[in-house]
Amino acid sequence: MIVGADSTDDSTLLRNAESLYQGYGLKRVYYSAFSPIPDSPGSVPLAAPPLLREHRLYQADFLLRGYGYKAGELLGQSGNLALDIDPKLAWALANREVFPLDVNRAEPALLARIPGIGLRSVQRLVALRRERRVRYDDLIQLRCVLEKARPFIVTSDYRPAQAELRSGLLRARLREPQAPVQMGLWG
Amino acid sequence: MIALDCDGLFATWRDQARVLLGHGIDPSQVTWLQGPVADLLAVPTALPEGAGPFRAKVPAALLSQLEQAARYRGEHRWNLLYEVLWRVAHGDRTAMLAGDRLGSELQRRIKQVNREAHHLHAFVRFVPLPEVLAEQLHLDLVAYHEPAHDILESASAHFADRLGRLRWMIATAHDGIRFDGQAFDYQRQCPEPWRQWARNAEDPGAELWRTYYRHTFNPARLNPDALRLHMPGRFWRHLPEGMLIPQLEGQARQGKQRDGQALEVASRAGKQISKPMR
Repeated sequence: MIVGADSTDDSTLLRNAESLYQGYGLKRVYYSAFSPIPDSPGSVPLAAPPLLREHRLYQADFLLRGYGYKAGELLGQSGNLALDIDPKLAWALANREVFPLDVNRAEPALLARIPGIGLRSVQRLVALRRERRVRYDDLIQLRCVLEKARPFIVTSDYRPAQAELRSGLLRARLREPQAPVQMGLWG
Repeated sequence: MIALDCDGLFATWRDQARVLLGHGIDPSQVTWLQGPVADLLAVPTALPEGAGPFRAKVPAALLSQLEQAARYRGEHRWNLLYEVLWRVAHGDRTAMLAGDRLGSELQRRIKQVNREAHHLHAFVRFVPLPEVLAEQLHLDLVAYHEPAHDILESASAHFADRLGRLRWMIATAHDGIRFDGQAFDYQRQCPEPWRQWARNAEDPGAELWRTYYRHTFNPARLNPDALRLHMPGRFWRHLPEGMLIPQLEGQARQGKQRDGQALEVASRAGKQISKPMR
């Protein structure tokens, strides 16, 4: 699906993708930020391709396919995905009552909803906790993204001090530094 | 200290490790020689005779993981494997899991090895030999590749599946492999003529491919970090488009990024396609 050539919002794109996955058994949907060639007609935007938006759509797409999220859960009210934080973190911030999760006890499907812990880490955590209790250092060893995961987890030797922190504050702390605005096409 | 040499072969290492394990010899007491520089402290001692009293049971998955990790070229290549084997054989299964300090290194090596196999499949560019030479050498396609790990033998079957009965050969700085349409011929030391054929082969399609690459390159979408992540610079030397990449990147940085797709493409008149008649 082409992103940014017309005014279609992320909600439409993701719901389309979801119905393609569910109704038609498609394996992958690809998103491509619209990139005009010189002297394109005025009906298309003459702007730099919205690469970050494309990236967020891919992140959301992976959450649909692999992690069991529904498109409705990821979108919220606005109809577009947030650009400053990834969709998984956005979901976690909007659903603080689910967290913090105990890494030693939680269901694998729930573990996969912790920001900064991916499907592969979940497999590895489950394998590890069969042998022994999981400690905070193990998550470092597994190269989980702890900056993101920290407020949302409990291990046998760690409880988040930030658990009480309001979502708005956490979001301000965790947002990605925005890249300098790309130069628009033709100045 | 026991100093061993397994000649870079997993099968040899496995036999040695089995004997060591049977006699209960601790990993700190063994070292495997690697390359010409030997461990100065290691006094070569003979391997104990016989299988030894300790019967170790390890999961089958461990053996295949060790075999994969053995293809990794790096320090403590064989010592690390024995350390993992020792811990798992003595009941500590976490040694093969990524959550453990040692297991994490093991898993990292396996990942690197698999990634290098992917690189082989992605960046080997076969060059067709001219007909006369092909008949003379019984070879249709040749390629030169420099993998960072010893993956050539295990990862090359992919090409036999893809190329059917074509006869091909891949030469590297270390080993080489040749397929005659039916069977593989793997050489641990790549024969010098193979290397010569592969390096001197001239690709008749290279110019066409470079033209295609230049025109499909979209400066507005350039992401140098992702580019290098997926196609490390060390492979560029052996790719026909390798010389173009830095050049196109430079142009993109100097303002072409603003133009969207290449001007050459935009300035073409294109082709009129008549509407289908009903």
